[in-house]
Amino acid sequence: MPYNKNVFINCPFDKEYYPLLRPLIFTIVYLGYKPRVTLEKSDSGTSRLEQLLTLISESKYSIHDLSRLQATKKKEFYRLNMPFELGIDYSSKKFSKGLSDKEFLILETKEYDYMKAISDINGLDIKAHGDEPLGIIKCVRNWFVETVGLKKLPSPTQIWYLFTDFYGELYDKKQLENFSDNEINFMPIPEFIDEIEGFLVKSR
Amino acid sequence: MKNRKFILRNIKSMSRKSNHVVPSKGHGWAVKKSGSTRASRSFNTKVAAVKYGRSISKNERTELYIHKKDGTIQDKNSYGNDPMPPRDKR
Repeated sequence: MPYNKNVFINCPFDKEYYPLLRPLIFTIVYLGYKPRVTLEKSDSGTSRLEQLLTLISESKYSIHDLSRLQATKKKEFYRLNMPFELGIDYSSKKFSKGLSDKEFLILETKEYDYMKAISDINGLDIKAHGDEPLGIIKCVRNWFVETVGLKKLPSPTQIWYLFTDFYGELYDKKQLENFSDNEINFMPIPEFIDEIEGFLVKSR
Repeated sequence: MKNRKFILRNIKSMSRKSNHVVPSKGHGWAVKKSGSTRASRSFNTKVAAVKYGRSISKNERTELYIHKKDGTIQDKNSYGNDPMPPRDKR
């Protein structure tokens, strides 16, 4: 995929985040763009940081979800990967030739949560998804209209309904291939993207 | 001849639209047909949506997918000639 079609996703990849990650990826693919994540390649010879820099330099668009920064249990560490990666991405726009046209979407759970932890980003495009799958579809869809300039897109609910159709078909297909529910719901991201692309080609 | 009838019946069943119980705006639930961009009906509770979904799927002899809040599949019930019947969960 060319630079201007790639969307770098900076978010947690734990099971708790998958309810938001699935519709996030689906919406990006549905709108004709390519989600790029560090999990797309497992190359033990390349450091994670190197992979990150490659993804950042290959993606015009980025979505940074900062909704999981806060520690939720006693003695749990504050999560720093997401703001760190946002920092690298933002600097690449400022200091690298050829990357000055990059565009960012920053996500959080509740409006102005970010002000408590990382108020320096005030002024960037920040949207709150409320930890809801339909909420994240709405944020991403609206950002593609406002910032990327896409026009005449279906409503967030229509994209959500298409996602549920996709999931029904995925469930049937993968069950026939003897996948367990867990294997369907947490399949590798590149495989999940392939399945979405296959579904959309068939349904268009 | 018998075989042809069986195939035709199966094709007819496969082409029928399945029903989906899905989370809707806010905390509501909806029943929608596959491929449709609009809900057939909306409900305040999932229990009521499943009840309605079951009754129309039985009438139409189609499949009913019951989704979880995150869109994944909680359950699938077949009321027709399901070309892909649900199997035991592992």
